[in-house]
Amino acid sequence: MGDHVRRWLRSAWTLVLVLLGACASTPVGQADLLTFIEDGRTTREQVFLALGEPSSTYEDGRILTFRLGRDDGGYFLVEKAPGFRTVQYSLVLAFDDAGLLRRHSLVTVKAP
Amino acid sequence: MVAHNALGVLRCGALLAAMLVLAGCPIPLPAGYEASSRENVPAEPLDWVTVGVTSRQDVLLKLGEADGEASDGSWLAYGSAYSKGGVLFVLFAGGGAAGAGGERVEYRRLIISFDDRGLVSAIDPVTRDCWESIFGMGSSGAQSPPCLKVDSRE
Repeated sequence: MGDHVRRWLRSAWTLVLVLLGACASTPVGQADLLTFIEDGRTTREQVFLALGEPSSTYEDGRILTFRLGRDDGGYFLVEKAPGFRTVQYSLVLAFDDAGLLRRHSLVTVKAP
Repeated sequence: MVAHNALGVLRCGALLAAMLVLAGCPIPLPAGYEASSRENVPAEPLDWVTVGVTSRQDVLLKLGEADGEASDGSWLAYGSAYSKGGVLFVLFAGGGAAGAGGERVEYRRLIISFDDRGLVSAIDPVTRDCWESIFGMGSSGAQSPPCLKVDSRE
């Protein structure tokens, strides 16, 4: 087999591998996305800085909710849209009047 | 004479519908929650809720973000839509496709009301089972509206 053919085969094989690689999805989740959350310590400010705008607020902003999904990498935020199409979890954070986290829960809204 | 014509139109319509059904490929629609539905609305009574004791915060921490809420915060709505399966008849012709069918959907909705102190004052569970029709032609389609709105009190 000539060098030309061998080089062409190697290039074709590389191209096939690249194309197959494009089909694989990369996890977007972060293993440490929620690790900063701790009752009695975490502030509302820290939550906004780490997670951004909540999907819903209740009781004049004392209760915040965030929509989350999960993949091999960990949890990821899901933007608010009608319904719960890609949402697996609802993170609920309840603060006191001083803006300190009092209670929180990660509710499974859809089976993973 | 008019009645005779109307009967003819009806017969023709029924014949066309029967032709579509008989000529179409039946595709079974599997059972399962609808894509945009949440799956954590319990069918059984909420034994963890005590009227006058359980707070809005307790409800949110247990069920998560609500599907709907009153503008004054006096109630929260949680709902789900579960398809019990159905069938879609698809007709392929001339490079295009058309289809019609139906599926049975169970809607479940919980309206939890609160008093001025933010404590549960009432729970109103509603479950409704209905058949919904689906039509499609080319790239457009339509579905009959849900028989129960899960995000409001309507």
